[in-house]
Amino acid sequence: MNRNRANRRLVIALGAGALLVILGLSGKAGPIRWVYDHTLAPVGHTIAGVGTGMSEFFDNFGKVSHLATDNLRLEQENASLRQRLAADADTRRDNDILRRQLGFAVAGGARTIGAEVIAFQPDSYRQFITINRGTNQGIAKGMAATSDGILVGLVSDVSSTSAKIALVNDPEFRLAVRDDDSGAEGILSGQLGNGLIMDQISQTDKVKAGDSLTSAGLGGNVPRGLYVGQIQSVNTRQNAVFQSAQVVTTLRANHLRFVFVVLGL
Amino acid sequence: MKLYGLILVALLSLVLQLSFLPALRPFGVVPNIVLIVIAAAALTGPLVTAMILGLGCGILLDLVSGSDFGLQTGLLALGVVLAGYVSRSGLQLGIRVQLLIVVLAVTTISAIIAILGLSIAGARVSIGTATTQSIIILILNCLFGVLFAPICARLATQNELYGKQ
Repeated sequence: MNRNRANRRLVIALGAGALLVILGLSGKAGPIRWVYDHTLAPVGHTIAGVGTGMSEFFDNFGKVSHLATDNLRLEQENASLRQRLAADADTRRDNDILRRQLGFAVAGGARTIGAEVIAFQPDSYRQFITINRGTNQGIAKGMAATSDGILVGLVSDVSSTSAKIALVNDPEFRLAVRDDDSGAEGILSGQLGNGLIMDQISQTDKVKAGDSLTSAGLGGNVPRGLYVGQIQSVNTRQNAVFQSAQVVTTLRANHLRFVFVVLGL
Repeated sequence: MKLYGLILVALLSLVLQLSFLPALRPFGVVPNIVLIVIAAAALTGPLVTAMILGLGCGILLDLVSGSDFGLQTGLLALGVVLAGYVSRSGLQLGIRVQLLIVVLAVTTISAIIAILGLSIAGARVSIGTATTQSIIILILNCLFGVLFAPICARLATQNELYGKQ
């Protein structure tokens, strides 16, 4: 008798669970998400900070032997970037003058909104984060998110008070990107186990290691010119239609605490 | 009193699963401690309690996860059902061995579903990397299971709401 009662309760619990899943699939789990966003999520954000700190602590042990070479490389990169910034400032000034003369609106910076990362993907196969901003703050699906000047991902799902962002290293991530140095365009994809790859690059395009990649701005809500990463190596095969390139980014997904969602230009 | 302790442990494991563990990423992977807590609760206490906890935790994980909605809920429910079979199978196995069996089974099924799902969706998946990651997750889940099984078991037995079965 007890066993029958227990089995009945089990079936009822399973039925309730299935109902909740159906509600979630049909997009009606908003109230549950609202409760989570306002109760557990803030606690999660604080605890994530502890996890990030510990992760950096352990990471630093492995980096000690490379400190000197990394320092030298970074100093050289810094000097090169400063020169480039100075040249870009001149180019921007010339651009503004020409736009005014032609009657175009002066190109402005993108409008962004800052958000805290309140949760991470709970498994190892996908790369998503959840932020504490949603449609109430003007965020929509497909918008780009950046951190430290690097594109970190695209908004994949949004509710009134939170949004999920698919990171660039998620295996299903796709974005049209452009090689700033050669003008080549291709598709950036994430790979399981980290790492990015840019493929569908025309065989006639000359891409090389060290080239900077930015978003191509071809359709959607992602503006042109958001920095993505650098080409690490190029894979060219004579009998292939396209070439591909391995891309490296300085994004450390598990250390993200704050991101900026690009609302528009 | 112990039911509330179990709920507290489940909530704590949920928060850690969504924040601390992904931020820390030991050996580059995220172990599943919610599965361990729910499986331990199912092995030593009433199945209904474990199922309700598992479904609740699963729904919250699905709300945050970018994977298909219902996957985490389904896996935790599967864990409870498997735990029910293992604990009532009549085999004289200790709590740790039973938990290892459940964790091994659910983690393996979870890895297969995730990798198959990504492959079907056209994602770039290196079988070698995926297999290595899955093995590391399996080892870490088993390790956490062995460490935390007695704590969860102590909280799950003789809870006041449904009584011991």
